[in-house]
Amino acid sequence: MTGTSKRAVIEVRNLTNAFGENTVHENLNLTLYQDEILGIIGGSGSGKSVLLRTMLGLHRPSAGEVCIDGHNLHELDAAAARELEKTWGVLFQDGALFSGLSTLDNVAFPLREYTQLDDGAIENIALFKLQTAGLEPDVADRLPSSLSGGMIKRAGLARALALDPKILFLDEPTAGLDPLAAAAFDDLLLELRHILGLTVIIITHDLDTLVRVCDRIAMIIDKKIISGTLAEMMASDHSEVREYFHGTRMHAVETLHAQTQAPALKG
Amino acid sequence: MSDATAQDFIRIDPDGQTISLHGPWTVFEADNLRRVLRPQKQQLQKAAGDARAIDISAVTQLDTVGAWLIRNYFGTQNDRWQMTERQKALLEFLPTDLPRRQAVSRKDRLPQMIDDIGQKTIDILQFLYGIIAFMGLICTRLAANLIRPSQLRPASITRHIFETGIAALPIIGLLAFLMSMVVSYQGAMQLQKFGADIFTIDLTVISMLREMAPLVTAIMVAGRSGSAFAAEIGVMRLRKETDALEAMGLDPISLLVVPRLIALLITLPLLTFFADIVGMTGGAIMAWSLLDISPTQYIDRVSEVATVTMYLVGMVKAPVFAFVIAVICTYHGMNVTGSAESVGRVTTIAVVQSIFMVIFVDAAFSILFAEIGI
Repeated sequence: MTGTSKRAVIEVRNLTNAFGENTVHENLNLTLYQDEILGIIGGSGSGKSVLLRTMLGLHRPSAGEVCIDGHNLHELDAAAARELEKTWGVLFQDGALFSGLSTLDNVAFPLREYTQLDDGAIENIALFKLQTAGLEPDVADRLPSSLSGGMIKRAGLARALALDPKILFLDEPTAGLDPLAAAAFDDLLLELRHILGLTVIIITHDLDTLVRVCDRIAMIIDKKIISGTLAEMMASDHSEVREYFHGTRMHAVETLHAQTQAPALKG
Repeated sequence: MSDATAQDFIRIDPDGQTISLHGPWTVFEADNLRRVLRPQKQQLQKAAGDARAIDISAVTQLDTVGAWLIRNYFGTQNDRWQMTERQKALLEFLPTDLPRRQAVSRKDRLPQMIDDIGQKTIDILQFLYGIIAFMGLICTRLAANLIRPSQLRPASITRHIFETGIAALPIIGLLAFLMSMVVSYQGAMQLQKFGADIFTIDLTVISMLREMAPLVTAIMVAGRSGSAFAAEIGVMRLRKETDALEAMGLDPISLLVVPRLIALLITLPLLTFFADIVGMTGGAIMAWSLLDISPTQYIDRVSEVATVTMYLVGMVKAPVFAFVIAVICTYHGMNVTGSAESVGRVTTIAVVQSIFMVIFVDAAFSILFAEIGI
């Protein structure tokens, strides 16, 4: 998967993150290529969310650098950083919807801030994004506090997609969704990648998502990344990778997948 | 590309056979696109109808908004269109029509106003009903806990005594000192004109003991601890911690509200007493510096002026204020619903209402004491 023809979109080089005595990442390297869907996995507390926050520039690493589209995130001036931020969309773990705005206004917010479109056009675009994310138009006027968990995830995705980003960061997008909704989310992701040419990073514990959607899997082990395709990870000799990919639940997913969805599996 | 022209986005070859699109058709260019294209919308749509080919493969960037505009101007795609696979997929991905939102029906202004007044009235009545019911609930739980003291939560009560009482000592002390200073200054300025300097002490001591110390302490505690009560309990409610308690068969009122109420009932009188002492000390310092009255003279004068009744008139109000603050603030905390935003709103309401009620109750006490002549 490290073919030279692929363009690197995100490069994390020699990243070290330490909180006091506690080192989370040490000389961690990770590269993400265009049009790729990368799943990040790892045990609780292994630093998945910190890695995501570092890639978004929300957390300044102790050492190392993050390059997005060839720009070093921590050396950009404010204006350039804003331009870069317009090209990505983020779905936070709990949605992080603005509680004071209606669902529609949440999606419309980035459009209002970053474009000069008139209100009617913005409303139409926002409605379309809500529809894309699988929400009915009657939730548009509801406040986030009255939405269910699954609806919040969808509204968060609609907001992340508002500016048609090139890179999508998803922090546990299918956690707390029922299996049908999670499967629909996976389908949507694959379709969006195909149509919009998205590059996607997913932090997930959802084995189905991992098997169906992700081109490559990156596992944080011992403060570093071990990455590869599903097949490569399955064949890995590393003890912790083996433990993860040969657990009983993984076997169940694999077996099920081989039986029912064989044609959808990418070779 | 603020000075973009139609040429940057769209070119029609001279014989009208081919329309080709160029440049980025994205959400960030959407405003430009609409500005340059809208004036020619009809010509463009006609041209699109006549043209033999519409070529969008030269568009450098296309996103959903750009695809939307293309379809608006040139209709749905067919075999005359030339485009890349991805562009085709994107155009097909767009829904054929947007879901219509139901327009919010606007009522006429007058009925709306009457409606609002009615709604507010109902809200107020519901609040009154709610807080009276809550008061009853707290009293029964408090009584039940006092009958069986083993059910009291000493750990929780001491924590709240520390937070509402001991931690408040510095600020209450400073406040009482400043209040006595203000009163002494005003008294000294006016009374010196009549040569009645010594009555400054009467003024300071009486006003501190009867009114200032209990009132200022209660207002400070309402702002300091009342807001904390409302916010703490509100957040616990939001995070379903109260539901967790109830699911374990434990009563949130006994666990969360009663300890706070007991703590405040203990600390507010003590803080008031503390404010009395500091206020009178402040009076002594001011008398000494402004009027050259020595501390010994001051103490003599105070023992003549201040009576036990006066002290008790002030002190008897403190537990009532404590009850008012605790009930209002915990009530609002327990009634938080929805989002984090409502915690902020509810906390503000709780503090404003409890300060208002403290002053209201104080006024009622004044009338009562005047009627019974103390």
